[in-house]
Amino acid sequence: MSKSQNEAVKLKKSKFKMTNRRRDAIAGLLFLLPWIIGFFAITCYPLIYSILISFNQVAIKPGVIELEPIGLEYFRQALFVDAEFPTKLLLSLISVVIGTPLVVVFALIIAVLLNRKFRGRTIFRMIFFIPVIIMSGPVMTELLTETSAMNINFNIFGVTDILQELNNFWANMLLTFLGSFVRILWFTGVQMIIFLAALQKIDQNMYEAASIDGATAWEMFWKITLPYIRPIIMLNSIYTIVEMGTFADDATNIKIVNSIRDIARPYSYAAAMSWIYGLCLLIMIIIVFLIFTDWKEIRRTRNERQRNQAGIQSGK
Amino acid sequence: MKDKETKLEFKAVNKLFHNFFVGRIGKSSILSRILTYVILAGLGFVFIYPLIYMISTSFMDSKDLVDSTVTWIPTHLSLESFIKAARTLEVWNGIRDSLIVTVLPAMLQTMVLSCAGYGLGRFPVPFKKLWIALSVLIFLIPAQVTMIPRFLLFNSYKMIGTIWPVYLISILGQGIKSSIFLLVYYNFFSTYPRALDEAARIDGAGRFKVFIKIALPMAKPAIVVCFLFSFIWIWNDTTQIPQYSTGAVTTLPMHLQQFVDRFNKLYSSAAVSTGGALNESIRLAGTLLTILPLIILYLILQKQFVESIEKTGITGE
Repeated sequence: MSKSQNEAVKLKKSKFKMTNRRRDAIAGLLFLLPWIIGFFAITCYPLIYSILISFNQVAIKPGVIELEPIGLEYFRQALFVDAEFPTKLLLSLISVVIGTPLVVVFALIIAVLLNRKFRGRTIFRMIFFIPVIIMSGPVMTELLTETSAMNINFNIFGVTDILQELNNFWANMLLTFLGSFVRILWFTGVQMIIFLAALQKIDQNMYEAASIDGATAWEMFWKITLPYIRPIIMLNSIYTIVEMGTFADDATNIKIVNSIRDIARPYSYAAAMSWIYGLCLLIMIIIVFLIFTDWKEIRRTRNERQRNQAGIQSGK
Repeated sequence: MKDKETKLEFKAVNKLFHNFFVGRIGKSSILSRILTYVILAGLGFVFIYPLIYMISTSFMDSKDLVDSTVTWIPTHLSLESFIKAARTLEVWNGIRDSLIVTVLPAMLQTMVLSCAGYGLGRFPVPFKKLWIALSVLIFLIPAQVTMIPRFLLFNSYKMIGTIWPVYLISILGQGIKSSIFLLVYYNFFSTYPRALDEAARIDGAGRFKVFIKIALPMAKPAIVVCFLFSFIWIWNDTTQIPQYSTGAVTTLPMHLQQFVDRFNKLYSSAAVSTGGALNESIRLAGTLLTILPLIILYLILQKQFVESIEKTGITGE
């Protein structure tokens, strides 16, 4: 085979590959198309539009909606004039801030316990997952506020009495925690399953090696399990923040939904409030992200990559 | 002789203690197993306490409710509350409406997102990382932000008050938490072996045929997760559907939301004065009836619910 022929074959091959690749890209785009259209039409456009109307006065004329720039007025009204919104916002945010770590910790405890081999774990797993299926705004409202189905009496050993008598900051905190204990636990279902799936993927040999070296189960949890599932903890924390923040029985959400058709300031006031709440939640998510990102690990891999590149260059 | 016996005894006791506190090799100790059961049973009790309370209270009649000696077990099973709650809720209408906006949209969303995930996972789509980043971002931005402009959008197409917004949202894959499903599919399709696909391609099957005949059957756990969770999340949704589709449908949870008004409309004040007022038993019977379809679904499919999450590799590899 002559050299030129060889090159021609190569060229033909590379050309074929290119078109094939391009065809693949087009096919992929076609598969993705409905989602992309949906994203731009009913997610991205509404998102931008909602920023726009939060800075505008909306006037509904027959057939058209007129916008009149009003600046930050609605944000100011929501934060400083409205009698209800700031307190409701603060309450929602506090419940998310306190709720998230509790949800994640309880989900982890349950997952670690369920991960052990014992009889009846499927039944327990089934019980712990029930709330995910049935949780909706109205059901929560009925169980939590309209009836006493969710108020467990923890006063078996007179605990609540003692706490009420103490009446200091921590005692009150503990009392409110006990009061919303069931609600917090009911948010753990999905996170527990995610933890369980992650725990089952940890290499059992590591535990075996550690136990031969004389590590106790407690030590192994802190030294092996926890570092391994650190990214999953971040994932679950973010999921919990989103889940709790957007839940339908949340006071702020109810306030936002109720003021959509506010007569004096339709749509835009609710949009401004939803952005304030949304930004607060986003800040929380960013904080969680910063806490759980393993900066040491990132630095190490970056250094290694640089070293490898340097090695390749010097090797050449 | 006696010395030997006590030594043996001591050994046996020691072994017992060892098993109890430390455990045999490869087995956890009895103590830790007991502790596991105790903690799980305690937490499990807290988890299902509201359900037990709901079931026991909804079978009580108004006499049992007031009687302080009756705490958990009603003196006789009374279906009075259930009958009243069912009439108030208009259960059958509610279930019908719920099914209308739940079953088909959940299926559509499952299909569309499986396509999208396959496209992202298997093909060199331009801006792949951008699409993934955007889908994560959508998940992080609370749904209530987009709700108002979506309402205005549907309003301008005269779709408010019909069931079409719910269908449109699903067919474009933008439903509640749909980003999670997209990421699950993406993760699934980008990690499973490509050899099968390629073999089929060489045999002359088109890309779409490969997707339908080979990729989809393999993605069964992801499809199950996506469908079941779409189903329950749409069923339980009471923020979006009421905004878009009031008038066309009133789902079962929406009926529960209006429980007090509906009850007062149905039972006149005359009935209230003769002890027929709205009480906890009726309210909880109503709540129980609302979640009953979901619980039945869960009891049938409970294995699929939990196990398919573990199989889809939602946690990333």
